[in-house]
Amino acid sequence: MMLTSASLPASLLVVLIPLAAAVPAYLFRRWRSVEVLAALIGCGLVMALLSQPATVTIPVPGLPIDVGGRLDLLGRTLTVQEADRLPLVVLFASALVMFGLSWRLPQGRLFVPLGLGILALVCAGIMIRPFVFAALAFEAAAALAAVLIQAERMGPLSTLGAQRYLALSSLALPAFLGAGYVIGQAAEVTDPALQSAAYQPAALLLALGFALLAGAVPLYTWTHAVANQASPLVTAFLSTVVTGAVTFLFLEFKQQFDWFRGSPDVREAINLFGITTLLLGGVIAWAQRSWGRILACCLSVDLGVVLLILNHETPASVEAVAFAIAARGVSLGVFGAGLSVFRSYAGSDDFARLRGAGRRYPLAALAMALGAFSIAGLPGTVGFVVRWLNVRVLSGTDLEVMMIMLLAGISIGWGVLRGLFSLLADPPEDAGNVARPPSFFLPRGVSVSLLLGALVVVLLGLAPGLLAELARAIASAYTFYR
Amino acid sequence: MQSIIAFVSDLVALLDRLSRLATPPLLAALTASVLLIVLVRNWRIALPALIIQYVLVGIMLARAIDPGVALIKPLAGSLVCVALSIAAQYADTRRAGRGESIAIERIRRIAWHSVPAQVLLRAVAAAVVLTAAFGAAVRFPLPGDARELGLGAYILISCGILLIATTSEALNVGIGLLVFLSGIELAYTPLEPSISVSVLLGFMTLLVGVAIAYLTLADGEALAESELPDGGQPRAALQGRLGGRASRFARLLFQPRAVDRGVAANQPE
Repeated sequence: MMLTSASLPASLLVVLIPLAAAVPAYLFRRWRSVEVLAALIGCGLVMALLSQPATVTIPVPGLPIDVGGRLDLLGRTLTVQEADRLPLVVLFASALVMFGLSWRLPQGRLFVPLGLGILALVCAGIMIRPFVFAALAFEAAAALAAVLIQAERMGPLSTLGAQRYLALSSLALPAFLGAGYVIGQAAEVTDPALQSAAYQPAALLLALGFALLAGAVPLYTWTHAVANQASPLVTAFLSTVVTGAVTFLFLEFKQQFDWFRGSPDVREAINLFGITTLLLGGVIAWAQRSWGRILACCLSVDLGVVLLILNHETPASVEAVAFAIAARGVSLGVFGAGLSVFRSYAGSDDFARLRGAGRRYPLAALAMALGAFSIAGLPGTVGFVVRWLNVRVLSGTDLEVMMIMLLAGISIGWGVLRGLFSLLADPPEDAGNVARPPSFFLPRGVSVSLLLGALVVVLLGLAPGLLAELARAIASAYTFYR
Repeated sequence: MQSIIAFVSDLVALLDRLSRLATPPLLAALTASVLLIVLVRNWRIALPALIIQYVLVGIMLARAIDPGVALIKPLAGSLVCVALSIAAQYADTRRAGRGESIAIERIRRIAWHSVPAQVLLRAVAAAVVLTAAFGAAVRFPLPGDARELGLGAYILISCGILLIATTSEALNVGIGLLVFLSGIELAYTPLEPSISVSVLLGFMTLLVGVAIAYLTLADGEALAESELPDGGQPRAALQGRLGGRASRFARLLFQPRAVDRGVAANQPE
């Protein structure tokens, strides 16, 4: 390992702090408060570190921290570039929300320590150059994620979600490795006319790799299996932190490589992946009969829309993508928190099994419905702002896609309404008193978490200034659309 | 310590010597090992075959990179296979306790009435995939100096994908994944013959192996959710889904306040 100056590069701390926090989180996992506190402190420290511009050196006595400092490791470079700084903050903030929610809503014994490990790996993936090593970091994160998805569930066929996630992430690996080699070869081509053709295979391989990592191809990927089998906050964590990191890496590629940005093949491929993923989620969402599947459809729709927006090269599109990732963390986190309660309550998330359960746990029903409606784009929620930004981008060029996106939102809303009717219906007679009032049966900590989460979804919907400012700052750090 | 260093040096020298073998026998052995894994999906046969395959991949890698670096692959692979065999043995012990069929029984008492059909189907699929791999190796030869490794890489990648696509058990899917990763390594390492790439790929093999071992253990446990009838008890279902410490959450949900109030809220009517 080689430090390029006497100061400590922040990139090293961005990786090491979550890993260091994972150790007490693992050792003290019996004391949930200590475990979650370690995670919150770790995430908070990194966020504080990254709140400084990349040009700043933080004067820590003895060893100043260079925010944009370079770390050379076995010939690879790890740096916090200005364009990466705020996206990393978004990822840590999203993780912080999930860890905070898991304080009173346990998501498996290893959620916090493994979550911190995954966070460190995906952040390393964003910061490392050459990017081939990012693929290895994402693969390592997928291996940890497989254990996280499985949690303590046992039994044949219980491993499907973890298997799919691991297998699809592994399939993306050769695409990135191959692209890395092709880029190296194409760089040696001096003729400009031949050079674009030399880069073409790399562009296509990267598009395929990104789509696989994001869960877009092949259709019906890990999203449904994971949403059905994993703990709800695990699904929210993976789809926000890992998929968010993949999205920011995509933006980084657009910033770095002209040939990637300008390739019509990449544009068409991403368009195809985005529209099919969006359509899949939208077409089947209204007919779902369980909340887990609704969650999966929400994911499909959100991922599909983000892929479509990524094809645009305007400040508004980058802003929309950044806002969508931050909002997804909140919406899915709150949805997952509510769903955790009901899964614990009935051992199932089927509409039929949960009939009448919403009367007993109104806060859980509220959180779940608000989270799902937010992804659908209901006015008054943070998801509405996301859809508004998306419409602003798409209305100029892709009216058809915009309509499909809005219809997909309606389809999700329809599915959520069906679930809500079931939750709030009279409990079946043979349910005994399991699903009957009185309410206020949840522990106070759980109730407070649910209520706070629901409030944040609404408050950010009514006053999205904070997130909008962050999204605008992220967009302004990229220059590829200028 | 010195004896370990001497042992590793001997292994490196052996790998170096083996790497001078002709390519066709190596490729034939590689194909045989992967075919065994694809056709006989029994971990007691598949895992030893996988270890042999790792050794063969290590020998082939030693033709393109430093034998000392190439040694990482068979070492990491063997460690993973040991971990997987422990997990599979544990899962089989649990299955045996429930009276279910286990790997050793399937070897001792072969069900001849069903085996030909199963093996034939897998053999046809394997033949198709191997033909495709051969065609790909001819039409799209992998770049780099060590082109003879291309066919081996294509065979491993295609058979790995076949395994992943056609099995549902965590162990078999995992073995497919490891075969696939070996193929990737065989294709990519000659293109970038650096120590860091080999070390990271070896580390990744270990990490993926640990994840698969964990899934294998989970796969071998008793049915938790799927055994529950529709009207199963909520608390039992919670333990199946979250288990362990999470079940404390269930107790919080179902009991305390009702007990505090003296209300029999959770008692069936």
